[in-house]
Amino acid sequence: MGFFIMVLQASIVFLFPALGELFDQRSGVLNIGLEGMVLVGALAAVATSDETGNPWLGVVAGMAAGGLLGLIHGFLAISLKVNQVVSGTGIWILGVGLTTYYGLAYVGPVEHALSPILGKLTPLFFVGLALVPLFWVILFKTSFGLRVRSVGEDPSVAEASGINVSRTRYIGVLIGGILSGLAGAYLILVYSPTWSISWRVPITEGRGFIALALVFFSMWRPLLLLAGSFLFGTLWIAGWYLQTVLPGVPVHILRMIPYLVTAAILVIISTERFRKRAGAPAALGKPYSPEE
Amino acid sequence: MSTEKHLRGIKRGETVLEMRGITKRFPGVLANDHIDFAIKAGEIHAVLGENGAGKTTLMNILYGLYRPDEGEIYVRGKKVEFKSCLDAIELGIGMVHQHRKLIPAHTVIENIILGHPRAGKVLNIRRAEKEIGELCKKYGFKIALRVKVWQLPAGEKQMVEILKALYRGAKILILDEPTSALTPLETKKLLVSLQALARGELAIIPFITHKLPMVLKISDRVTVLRRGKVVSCLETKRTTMPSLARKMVGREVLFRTEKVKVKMGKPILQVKNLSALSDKGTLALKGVSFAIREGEIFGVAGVTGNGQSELAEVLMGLRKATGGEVTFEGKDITRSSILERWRMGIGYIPAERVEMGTIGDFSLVENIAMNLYFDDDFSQRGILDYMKIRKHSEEAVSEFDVMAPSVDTKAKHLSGGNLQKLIIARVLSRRPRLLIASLPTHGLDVGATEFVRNKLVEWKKKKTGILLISEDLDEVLSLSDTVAPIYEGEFMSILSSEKANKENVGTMMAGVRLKR
Amino acid sequence: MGLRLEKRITVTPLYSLGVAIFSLVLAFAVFSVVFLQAGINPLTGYKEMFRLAFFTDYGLSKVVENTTVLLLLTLAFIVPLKAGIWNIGAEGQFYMGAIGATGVSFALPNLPLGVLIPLMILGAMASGGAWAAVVGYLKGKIGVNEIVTTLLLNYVATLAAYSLVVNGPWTCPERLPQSSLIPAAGRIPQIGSTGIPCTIFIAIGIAIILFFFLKKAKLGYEIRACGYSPTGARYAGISFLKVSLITMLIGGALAGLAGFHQASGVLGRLRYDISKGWGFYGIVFGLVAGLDPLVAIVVSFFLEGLIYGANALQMTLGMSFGVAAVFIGILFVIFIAGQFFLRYRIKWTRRRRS
Repeated sequence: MGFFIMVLQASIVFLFPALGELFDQRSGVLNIGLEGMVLVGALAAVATSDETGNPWLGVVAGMAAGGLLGLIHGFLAISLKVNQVVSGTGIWILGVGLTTYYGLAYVGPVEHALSPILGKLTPLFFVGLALVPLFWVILFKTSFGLRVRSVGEDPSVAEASGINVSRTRYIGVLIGGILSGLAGAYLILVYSPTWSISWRVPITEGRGFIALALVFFSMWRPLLLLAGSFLFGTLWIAGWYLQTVLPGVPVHILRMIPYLVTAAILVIISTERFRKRAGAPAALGKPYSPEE
Repeated sequence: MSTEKHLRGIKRGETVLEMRGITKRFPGVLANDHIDFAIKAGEIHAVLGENGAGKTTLMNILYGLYRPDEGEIYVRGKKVEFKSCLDAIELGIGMVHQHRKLIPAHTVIENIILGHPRAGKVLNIRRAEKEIGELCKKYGFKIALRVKVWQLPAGEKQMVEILKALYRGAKILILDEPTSALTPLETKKLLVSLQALARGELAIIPFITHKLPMVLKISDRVTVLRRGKVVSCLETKRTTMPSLARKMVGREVLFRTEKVKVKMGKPILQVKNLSALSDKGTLALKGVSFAIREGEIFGVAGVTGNGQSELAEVLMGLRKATGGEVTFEGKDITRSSILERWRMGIGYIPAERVEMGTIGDFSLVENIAMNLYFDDDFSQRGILDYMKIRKHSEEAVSEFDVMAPSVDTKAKHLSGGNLQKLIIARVLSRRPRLLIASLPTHGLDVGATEFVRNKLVEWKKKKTGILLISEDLDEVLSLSDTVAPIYEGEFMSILSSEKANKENVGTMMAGVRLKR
Repeated sequence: MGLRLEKRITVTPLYSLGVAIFSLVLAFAVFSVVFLQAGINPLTGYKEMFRLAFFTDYGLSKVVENTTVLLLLTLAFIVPLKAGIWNIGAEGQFYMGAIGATGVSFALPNLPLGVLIPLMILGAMASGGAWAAVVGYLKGKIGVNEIVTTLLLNYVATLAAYSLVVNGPWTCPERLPQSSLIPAAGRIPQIGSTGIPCTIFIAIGIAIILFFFLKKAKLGYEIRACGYSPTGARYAGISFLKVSLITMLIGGALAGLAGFHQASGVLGRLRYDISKGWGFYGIVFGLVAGLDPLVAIVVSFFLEGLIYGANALQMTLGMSFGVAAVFIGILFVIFIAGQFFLRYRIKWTRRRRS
């Protein structure tokens, strides 16, 4: 049972940024700087929570910080029309830099973590679950969602239909940022309430990138995303649990499993068979200029 | 300001739209030069001009996509300014673009209601379906509404776009090259629909590059543009095709290239039962068989999308054949690589000049190198002999009259016509024995078109076998020795040029199989 | 009246340089905020940075030593990107290279230096190269997303190193998270008495060779064609699979070579934290250098110096850990934004009424 609870919690860490990125990519913007946004969200969360003593303020701060970084990425990618892989890398490096430097003051266990309400589960967990059907409805059943999807498929068509492409994409990037920041807040205030600094591996340990892979894996559908998050949560926890079951195998080998499985899945879905069935939003990653 | 209120009570013959003194500049070119244009309700008013004459720019200004540098627009006498398409749409102006502005992955209904202010927060598909259905009935359109757009044929996609504009309340309909991708049958259907719309007091502006017969058939009035200026505006029934052509181009235009008779040799290419899939996984080429001889121009006539591009790609090795075999000069090349085919003496002039035929960020020299880099003549032990390639490029550029500041200019700065000349110069410099030319004169002005056609004839005289893929029936008929109309991946027939004429080929292109 | 964006057609090298310098200056200005927050006068701060990096014997030697790594990692990013492939896995390839080199030295400790070093180099380049070539092959064959794949493999490579030196088979007798010392015959010779391994010359030499390779060689042409237009390259008969495989192989091998340098020349052993996130700086430097191998030499030296100087400020001016990371982050974002001015021109328009 404990294993199951841990899996649920671990899944949320993937779910939040992946959901935000799904929305963002549906509008045509690729953001590989997820890792950086989760980190600043975590830093803002722990800093605010420690200073004010209120972990919920920390959550809000995390969301705001993530959103801010998302807007910076948006500005670079949408208005300045920078190559989106480059700007995503920039956001990531900026995020790592900022959190390493300013985070020094908060190294150690978190003072005010978020308290659980149901067993070990916090309210954020339920928020996460609720967001999935909400996003599904918004994307497929509202005209706003239709606009977002159209902007991601063919921005020139959307423009000719009277839609403001830039504004729609900014909203997408903002939502992506806010959710990543939320993930960071969750990570630090709920999941593993200890802040540590390392040149090598920031506390997110690459989960931002796994979330990115998740979006591709889910073929841009929220329900599949939820399933995928649980799958990856399971893999992540399994890495730790298998230690007890298989004492002979070094822990580091086991921890490779989530990354290897993700990579393997990416390879599989890139083959012809899958590619034909699930298309990416056609305009994903391409900057748009009206008067070309 | 809702559309209905603004355009209520329009009478037939009333001037609904006027453009005065419209001027628009782009870096290096004056696209529109003080253009005056007016259209009346219930009228079909064609805008005619060559590529670069300024039609698309003018229409984009009218639709609010561009802002004019000078000039005004009046709708029903009131001056208006468009900050975006939304403003134009609100005033009842709708546009149907040449390159489909539809989202293939979405359904017909989703495409029609996209961006519509009345779509509401939550999509009410059922209500939209009813309303659109009524529109269809009113104007005689027959379309399945819940289908995804990528599944529709070109003619129906056209209808969807028109429906979309109508659903937004368009009273002025701008149509960009409306018949360019349609079969003769679909064109007839469109004509009927347009006339029905005009009877409903709509004003319709179809604009067209070279389909002069269409202009004469559809429109009430025609405005001719040349180099950004209005040349004349007159009633269609008072003019003739040669007169219009002269106004469009500024000089006499020959409508048929002279047919050259060449003694044809043995077959170079033999294709048996060739099949291939399209990008979407459907069968695009269904067991095609034919042969091309030395000195023969084999013309494949048909509307784009019937398997021509797949045929060209399979022959060049860019696409895998799912069945059948291709033999070149006696050798089975069905599984040969693209490089091997270039080396063997097959050349390909692709329809996609910018995406495939050239590399924009490469200089002219480096572009010419695209067909030379693998040749031992031009490289030594893995290092390219750029001096030799350069010299070769300078010769090619001057012989083919490619206009560019120097051979070091990047290809992306070249105009369409010059790019095509560059590609042809490069491909022909390998002296291919089989030349595949896909839409070689598409989008080129009259001068460049003449040049390309002459080159094809020149090489036919040199005993090269040529596969010509074209949408232009006149072109195919005047250049080819053998004509094969293609429809949905099959050759409807293979006719010698004596037996082929516009009627039978045109009919077969539309899918009707004729008895010989 | 308003602002309008116009695409720039031609860009002179002088203008590019101007924009780059302007971005740098702006980054310095923005970063001053960090200095002020720490109670330090920015001018003093920058002066110290430069002094420690370039004008002290110890600093300069360290900068040159690190430039070797960074230059190689920058090249590892540049070469695949010339073909349009984003190699974000230099970090992991670096680790694999270090593992390879260390492994060879442990397996054959009794060989003379003249034989062992080349074998270690081979081992490093082979491991790094193979680590990258897998992705190169998959990208060429089925078009897998190389960004996420190489990224994930970074973590796997790091964990592989951990498994070897953290309570693993290579852990040194003192039970620290590092391997035992590499035998003396496996240590890279140094330049005179400066303490700098002579691999710096190899790195610079490789950069120069790559520059000419890309410009003049047939394969270099094929690589560039793929980078500019995959469709056009295919049409011209170029095999993307071949290009993808080779460029990633080269990239991985170069990163692996950097790992060899660090393990054998600098540290003398494999440590769990042998890389300080350098693989990612390679990406930054590569983009700042405009993907030009020769410019990369200058850029890696200069920026590495700034990084070293910033880090050294921890000791002399008491700044916190992570200073360099913030600096590079700010510099990179501003630099990216500045690139905008290379592609567009802003014009004021005046609408005239006729």
